[in-house]
Amino acid sequence: MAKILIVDDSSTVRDEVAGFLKDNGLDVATAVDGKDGLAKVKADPGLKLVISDVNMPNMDGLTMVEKIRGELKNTTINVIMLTTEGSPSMKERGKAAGIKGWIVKPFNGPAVLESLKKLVA
Amino acid sequence: MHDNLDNKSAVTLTENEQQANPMRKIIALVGIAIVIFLAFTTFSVNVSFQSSDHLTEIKDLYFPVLERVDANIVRLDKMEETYTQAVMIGEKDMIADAEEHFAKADAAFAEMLKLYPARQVDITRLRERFGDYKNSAGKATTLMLEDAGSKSKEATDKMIGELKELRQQIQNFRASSYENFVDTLAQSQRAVKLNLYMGMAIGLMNLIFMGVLVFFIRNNVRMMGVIAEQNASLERKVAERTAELSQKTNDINAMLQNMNLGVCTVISGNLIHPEYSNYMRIIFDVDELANASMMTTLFAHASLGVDTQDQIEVALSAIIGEDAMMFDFNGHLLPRETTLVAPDGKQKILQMDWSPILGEDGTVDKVLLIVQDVTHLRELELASAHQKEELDIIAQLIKVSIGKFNDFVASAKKFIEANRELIQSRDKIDPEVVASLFRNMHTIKGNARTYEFRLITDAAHAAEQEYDKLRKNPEAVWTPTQMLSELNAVSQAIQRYLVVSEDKLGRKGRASDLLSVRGAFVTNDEINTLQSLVASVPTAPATLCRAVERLGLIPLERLVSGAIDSLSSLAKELNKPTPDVVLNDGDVAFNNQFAVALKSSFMHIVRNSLDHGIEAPDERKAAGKPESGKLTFTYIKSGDRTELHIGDDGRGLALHQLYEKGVAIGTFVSGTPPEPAAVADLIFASGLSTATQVTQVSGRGVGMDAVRAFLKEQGANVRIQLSEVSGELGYTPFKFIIDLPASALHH
Repeated sequence: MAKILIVDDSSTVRDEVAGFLKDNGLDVATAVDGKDGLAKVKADPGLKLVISDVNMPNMDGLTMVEKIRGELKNTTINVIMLTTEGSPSMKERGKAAGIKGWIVKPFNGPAVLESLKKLVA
Repeated sequence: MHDNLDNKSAVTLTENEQQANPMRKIIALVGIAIVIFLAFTTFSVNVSFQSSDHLTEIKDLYFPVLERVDANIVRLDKMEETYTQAVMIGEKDMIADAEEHFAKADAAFAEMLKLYPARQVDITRLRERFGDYKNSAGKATTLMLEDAGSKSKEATDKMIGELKELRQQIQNFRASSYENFVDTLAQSQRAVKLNLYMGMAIGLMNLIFMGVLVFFIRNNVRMMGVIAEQNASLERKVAERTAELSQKTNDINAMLQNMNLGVCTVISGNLIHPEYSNYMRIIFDVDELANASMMTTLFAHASLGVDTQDQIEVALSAIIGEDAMMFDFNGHLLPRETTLVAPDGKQKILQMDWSPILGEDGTVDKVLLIVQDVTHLRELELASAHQKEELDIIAQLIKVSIGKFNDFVASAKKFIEANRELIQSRDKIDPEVVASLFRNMHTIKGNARTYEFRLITDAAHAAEQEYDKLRKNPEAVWTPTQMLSELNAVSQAIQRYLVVSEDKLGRKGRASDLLSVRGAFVTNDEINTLQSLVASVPTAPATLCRAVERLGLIPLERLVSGAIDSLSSLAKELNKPTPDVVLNDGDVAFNNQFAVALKSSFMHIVRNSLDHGIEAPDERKAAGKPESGKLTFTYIKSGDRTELHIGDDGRGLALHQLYEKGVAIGTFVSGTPPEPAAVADLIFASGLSTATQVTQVSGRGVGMDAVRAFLKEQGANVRIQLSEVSGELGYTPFKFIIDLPASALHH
């Protein structure tokens, strides 16, 4: 049972983020888009944190979060978005969907590791 | 700085609420007191009325009635007396007098009936009895006067009986009336007493009540006083705090105005908050920063790429207004140092510190940015570091004679040039070239270490490390550009020493320990001329020939002294005492070229000996040896053989380990060890070391490999001579023997 789910359509990002977290002793699963992510959150109630890209095919990250909160009625799982842009409207939408916050790309593992560990502790 | 701090008092006054409750209580108490008082008054009035009724009754009823009853009793006596007198004196007219008394009594009864209707029956009966008595007394009197004998006696008896009865009845009536009178009087007295007691009780109650009320009011008054005092002190405090706050605000403003530190906060939208330190304007050369966009104002001239600027902007928007944790996630994207380039090309190095300011809900309200202009500081740091380095170099240089230094530089330059050529001559990895590169660099490093030229040692070590990687991995990528830049770093380090030596120490000139003959400088040409001159004189004395022959040659003693210069520092590094050096026949001399090769060889041999051969003091003591080791250099000439023997009194060569290495690299076959001499010879193989640990001093196994290569270039051979060879492969005493070619001893 993984604790963190990495959702990104780029295999490079997935490998990098998931690889880093795994190397540092965290249980990590991955999903290739919002749809896949939603299914995995539904299937694994042990997940504590989702780190997701925003722009993805099939289903974008914010829609996925809205569905996690709405359809799955899962209000406890923490969600952090990986992003390269910080438009106010996007931030508003994220806040409304109850995301924990934003991590600006590129993902700097060592800089964020301790904080991520706190979120899944 | 246009914003005033919000001075509104946060205190909510609840005086009205606090006062309302006591007021209500007081009103309630007073109300209750009034009700009780009214009730008492009503009761008291009622009792008074009752009492007054009783008194009226006494005055208007009992007194007149009893008066009349008493009067009638007297009248009865008078009637009896009158009748008796009438009989006694025989005056019939007196009967009329008695009847007159009766008439008055009867009138009194009539009045009594009116006064006292409650006893109408009794009064009427008494009246009738009174009448009966008057009639029978009148009749008896008349009969007595008429002296009617028995008749009169009968009438008299009747009269006496009636009178007795009447007296009895009238006394009874009086007694009962008097009883009623006393009763009524007692009732009236009781009512008055009750009224008095009730009044006293009510008075007492009211007194207690008033006491409570007074106490309560007093308390409330005191409480209100306290509240008022508190309010006053609160107001005072608010005033004080306000003054303090405004003082602080002024202080902060003064600080912001005058501090030589850029301070500002970044708010939502990445805008600069209107409160910022004046120095911000100076640093960033702008007039107004309030509500300006941070990115365009502060970083317009910063040496940050577009992408980095974009990242800073997004990072800030991912932090401000978000959970405090987002600073941990994105804070690393905010620049800690940047260089501002002004339009005039002047550069400013800015150090930046970012920290989140949290709101009450735990989200980041704004981000505090502290900017310091560290341009001057960095320059000073750089200058100071440069100066310190220079001082270090000077300290290192003055320990080394100019001659030795020049020799070191010449030799190092030679190796650097050799390496440069080697690097440029190949476009892919070549193990032999790599081995040579390594060997050369290792020699530079070793020589630099000998003189403790730290900067050169470090640069050479870095280059050597790269070669080592190539040596260990034949698949590695050949990177000539990188290798040349590493080589240049070594070259620059040497140049640095050279510049300091010449400019700061004034040690210019071409002095060389190898070429100079104490105080005089003789060129090779001059020597050659002199030698050919002497050679052309057949009669020249042998001593002169020999002296001239030795001109320009370098004696072994000086070469050895060069190698042992480094012994004490090396020994210190290895925690061993400095070994003794014994030199036999140090008078032999070598030509310059050979001397250079020998000097480098000695360096490696001495290092190896001290590091691997000579044991630690404890070990030596246990083996019955003196704590300090001994190195021996011996020159031997026997026939046409000229040899240089170099040995130590250490533990000897680890033949068993050498054999294992040999097996590991495929030189030997496991299980069938060759002759010990063959095993010993492996020490000259490239990249081999028996040391279990690579130390800074030696241990890469390159030393002996380099020694053999250097000497071979000069036509000499180096080998190992084992002594006390036993059947077992183990630590075996040995010495290096260098077979010197005849050319080594001449020009």
